[in-house]
Amino acid sequence: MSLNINKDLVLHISKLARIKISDEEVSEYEKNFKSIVEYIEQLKEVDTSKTEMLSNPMTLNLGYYENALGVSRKQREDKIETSLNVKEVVKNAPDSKNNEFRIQSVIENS
Amino acid sequence: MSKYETVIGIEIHAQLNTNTKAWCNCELKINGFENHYVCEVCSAQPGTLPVVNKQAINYALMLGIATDCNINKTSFYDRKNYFYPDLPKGYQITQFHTPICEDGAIELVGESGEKKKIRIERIQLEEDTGKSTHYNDYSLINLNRAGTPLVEIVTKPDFKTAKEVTNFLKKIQSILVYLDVSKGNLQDGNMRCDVNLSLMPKGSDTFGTRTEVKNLNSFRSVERAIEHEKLRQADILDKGEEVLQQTLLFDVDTGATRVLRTKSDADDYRYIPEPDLLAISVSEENIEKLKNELPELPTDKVNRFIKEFKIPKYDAEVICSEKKLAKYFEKACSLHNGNAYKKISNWVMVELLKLVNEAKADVEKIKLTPKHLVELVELIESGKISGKIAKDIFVEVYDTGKLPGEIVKEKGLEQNSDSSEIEEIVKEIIGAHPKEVEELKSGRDRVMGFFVGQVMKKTQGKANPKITSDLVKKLLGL
Amino acid sequence: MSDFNTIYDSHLALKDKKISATELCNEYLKVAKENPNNTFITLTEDYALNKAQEIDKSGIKNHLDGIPFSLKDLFITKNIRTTAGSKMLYNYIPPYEGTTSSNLQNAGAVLVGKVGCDEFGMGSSNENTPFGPVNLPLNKDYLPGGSSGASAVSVLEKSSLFSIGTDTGGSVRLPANFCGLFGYKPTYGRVSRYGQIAYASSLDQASPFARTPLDIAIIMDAMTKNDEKDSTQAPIGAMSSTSKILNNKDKSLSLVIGIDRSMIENCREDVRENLNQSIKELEKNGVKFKDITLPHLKYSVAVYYVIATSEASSNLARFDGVHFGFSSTEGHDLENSYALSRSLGFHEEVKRRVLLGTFCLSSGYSDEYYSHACKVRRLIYDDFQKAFNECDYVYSPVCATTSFKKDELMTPLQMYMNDLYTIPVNLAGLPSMALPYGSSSLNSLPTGFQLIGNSFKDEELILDSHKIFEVLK
Repeated sequence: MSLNINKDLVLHISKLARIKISDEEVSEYEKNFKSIVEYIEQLKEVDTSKTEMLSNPMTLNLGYYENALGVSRKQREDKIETSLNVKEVVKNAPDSKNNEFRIQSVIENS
Repeated sequence: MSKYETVIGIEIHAQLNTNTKAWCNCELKINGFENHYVCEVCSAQPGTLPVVNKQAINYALMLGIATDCNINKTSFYDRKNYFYPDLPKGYQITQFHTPICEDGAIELVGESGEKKKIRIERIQLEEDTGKSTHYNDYSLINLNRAGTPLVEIVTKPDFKTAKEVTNFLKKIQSILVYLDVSKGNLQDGNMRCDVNLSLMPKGSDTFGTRTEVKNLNSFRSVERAIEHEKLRQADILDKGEEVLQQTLLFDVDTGATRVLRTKSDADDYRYIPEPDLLAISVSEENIEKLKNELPELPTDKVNRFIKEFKIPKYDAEVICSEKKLAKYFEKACSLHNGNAYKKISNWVMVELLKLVNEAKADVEKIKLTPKHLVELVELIESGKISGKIAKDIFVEVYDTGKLPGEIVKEKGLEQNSDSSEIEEIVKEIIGAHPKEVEELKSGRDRVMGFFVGQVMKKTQGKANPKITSDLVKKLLGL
Repeated sequence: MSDFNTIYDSHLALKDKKISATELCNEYLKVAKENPNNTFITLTEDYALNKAQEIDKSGIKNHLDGIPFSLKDLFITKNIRTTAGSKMLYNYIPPYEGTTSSNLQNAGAVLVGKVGCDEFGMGSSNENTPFGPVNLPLNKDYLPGGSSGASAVSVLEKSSLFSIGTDTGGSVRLPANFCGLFGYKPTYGRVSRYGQIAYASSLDQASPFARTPLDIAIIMDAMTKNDEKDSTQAPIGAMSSTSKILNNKDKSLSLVIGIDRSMIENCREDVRENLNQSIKELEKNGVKFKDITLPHLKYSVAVYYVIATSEASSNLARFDGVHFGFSSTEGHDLENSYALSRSLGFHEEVKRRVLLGTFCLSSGYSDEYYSHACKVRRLIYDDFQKAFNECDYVYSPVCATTSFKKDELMTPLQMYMNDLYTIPVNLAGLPSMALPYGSSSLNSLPTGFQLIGNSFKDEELILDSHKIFEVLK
C-alpha cells in the first residue's frame, strides 16, 4: 500500500500544480487525500494484466464509424484562414503591452 | 590521449514547412507583427480543441521513410504538462509513448572514409511554443510561433566526435531541404539541436551520467559545446567527482556551458494521452504512395549524376550538397547540346559558387541562369571564344544577365581561327625570341606555353590556342 | 402566463400565432430577471429580444425558432461573458463562438442567459461556486444537484424552455433526477465539445434538460451537426429523432432491458419503492427485464476520480493568469504569480481535484493510478458490451437518494458517491436518458431512473424514452 500521503507530498504536489496552499490547508488536504487515495486503492484488487488502457471511448468507436459508415477521421487541410484580430487575442489578458501579453514578474533562471 | 570515451546522442527539432499551424488554420508567420497570427486555438482560449494538420503528418512520414524508419500504423498524441508563459495551454502536445516513426538510421562517411551508421531512435510530431522577450522587470509573450508543427528526431548515442555530429546534422539538414519538409536552417531557428553527452572510461560499456546542452544554433556552436563539455566532464571525473545530470546552456560568447537546471522532480512532466485527439492511423497504401512520390534524396542524386553526367563523385557531392545547386546543374545539363557535363560541373563548382558565396546569393535568383552558363560553355566548346575570354565575361554575365553571345559580339571577342592572320603574328614572335626558340627545339615542351601566351597577348586573347601551337610547330619544323 | 411548457407545444403556439416570439421571450425573461433561485450569472435580455423580434419578422420554420433557452456557463458565447462559474473567469469575454451555442441559435433558439454551475463543472450540488448556491424551486431548503443544477432550475422555474448542461460524471442526469426533468447524456462523440470549457475531455458531453423526450429529440437534432473543430466527434451528421418520434406509429414496448438488481437494493427505501414500481409498470406494458451483472461497476467512482481529476489537472493548466483570467498582482516572481493566481482564482473543490489529478499523474504514481484506472475503465466498458449482447438497454437508478438539503454536511468522498450510478455511463462513453418517475414518499421530491443504451444508439434511445414516457405519465 502506497499510502504515504504526508505533508511533504501534499506540498510537493501543490508546487507541481502551481496552487499555493496555506499551512492550515495542508493538513486539510492531507486528510482529504488520505481518504480519497485510500478509496482509490481498492482498484488494486482488479487484475488488469491482460487489459488495454481505455483513455478515450472514441478510440473504441472508431471502427464503428470508419468501417460501418465509411467516413474518415477528422484532419485539416493545410489552408490558411484569417486569424483573430490582435485586439481580440489580448483583450482578456490581465496585462499587455504593444499587443503582447505582459508578465510583470521576471522569469527566473531556476 | 584522453582516458575517456565520449558518448553523444542528439535531439533535433525541425519546424515543418506547412502553410498553417499544427492544430489550427493560422498562417505560419513567426516574424509577422506580434500576435497577429494567433486565433482562439493557438492562444488556448478555454473550450478550444486541436485538429491535426494533414500535411504535418505527411511530412513526418516522408522524413521517416527517407531515414529508413519503421512507420507505426497507429501512433498517439500525448500531453507534456509544464507551466511556462510561452506555452499557453500549460501543456505541449507531443508523442511520448508511441511516436509516428521509430528505428531508423543514416549512414555517415567518417574522416578516413569509413562508413558509420547513426541510428535514429524515434521521430515524433509535436508543437513549438510562443516566444518570450525578457526586459528588466517584465517579459512580453508573442504567440505567433505557438503551435508551429515540429518533428523531433532523437538519435541513439552513436556519436563519438563533434565532427560526426555536425556531419550528421548536415546530412539531416539536406534531407529536410530535399524533401521540402523543413527549411532546416540552424541560424534562423527552424532547426534546433540539443546534445546529450557523457564520458566513460575507455573499454567500459556502462555509460556515465550525461548532460544535455541546449540552444545550439550553428554547426560551430555544436562543435565548440561538445569540445567544452568533454573537457569539463573529464575534469570532474579526473578529480574523482561525479557529473551531475543537468540541462546546460551554451554561451556563444564565452564558449562555455552554464547550468539551466539540475534534473529533479521539477522535471515531472505528468504525461497523459491527449484526450482531444484520436490516434494517427497510417495505411500501407498511404506509405506506398508517399514512397512513390518521395522527392529524390541527396545520395540518390549523387549516384544518378555520376552515372548520367559522367562527373566525378567529388563533383557530384559538392553540387548535390545543396538542393538548389543540384537543380541548377541539372537544368544546365538538360539545356546543353553535347556532353561537356564535366565542363559545366567545373564552371558551377568553381566560378559560379565563388560569386554566389561572395554575394550570399540565392542560386535560383541570380541573373546568370543555366541557359547563360550553357551558352558560355558551348561558345568555348565550339572554339568561338577562349577559356580566358569566357572567364573574363563570366562576371559581366553574372552582373547584368546579358547573354554571353551578345557580349562576345558587342566586344568583338570572338576567337580568331584565321590561320594566315595568326601565322603573321607567330612569325613575328619567333623572330623576336631566338633564345626561347632554341629551348623549344631542344625539347623543352613547356616553352610552347610562352609562345601561345605571347600570341594571346598580342591578340587580346582572341587567337585560337590550338591553331597557334600548331603553327609554332609547323614554322619551327617540329 | 402561457399554458404550454414544452418546446413542441410552444412551437405549435408560435406557428399558429397564438403567441409571438417576443411575447414568449418576455414571459421567460421576466422570470429570469427576477432570478428567484439565483439561477443566472449573466442575463442576455437585449440580445434575446432582438433575436425574438427577428424571428417574428421572418416567421416560424424550425421547431426551435423563438424558443427561449439557457446555457450552463461552461459554454462559450462570443462577446458574452462566460465564467465557468469561477472567479478565475469572472470577466472573461470570449473572442469566439462555441459550437453548442451557434448550433442552437442557428436553429432559431433564443438565448435568455448564462446560468450557474459548480465551478468548471466540478461538483454534484451546484454549491461549489463563488456565485452562490441555487435553490431547488420545489423546496428551497433543498439543492437541485450539480454540477448543471442551475440549468435544471431554469427549466423548472420557467425562465427557459430548455437548457444545456454538461455531463462528465452525471452532472446533467443527477439534477434532472432531483428536479423531475428529462436529462439526456449523448454517446461520447455524438456532439461537439468545441467551445465547451473542458473539465475531463474524455468524459465531458454537452447534454440537454427538457420536459419531454420529444423536446430532447428536437434539441439533439440541432446539436448533432458535424463539427470540423472537434476531432473526437464522430463525423456521422445530425440525427433526425424528432421526425422519428412524430412519425412513429408503433406504440408497443417490445424491449429487453437488462437490470442488475443489486443496484436497486442499495438505494434508499423511498427511491427503491418507486424504482420497483416503475419496473412493474414497464413490465405491464410489455418490457421484458433480464437480470445481468456488471461486475466492475463498483469501481466506477474510484476510476472516475483518478481519470477525471488527471485530465482536469491538465485541462485547467491554461488558467495561469497570463493570457486571460484572474491574475494576482501579489506575486513577486513568475512562480509566485502562478501559484497565487491559481490558488485565489480557483474555489476549493477545483483545487482539490486539480491537486488530486496532479498526484495521480506525477512520476512514480502515474502507472499505479492513472494507467491502472484506464485499464479498469476498459473492463467497465466490456461489462456493458457483454450486457448489450443480451438486452437493448440497461436500467439503472440515477441516484440512491432524492435531492439533499443545503446544510447537509458531507465529506468530499460522500459527495462523490452521489455519482455512483451515473459515472459508469461516462466512463464507457454510452448514451443515457434520465427519466423522471414518481415522487418520494419521504419528502415528496422527484425520483426517477435512467436507461443506458449502446454507443450511437441515441436515436433509438430517445424514441423508446418517448414511448415509455407515453405509457408512464
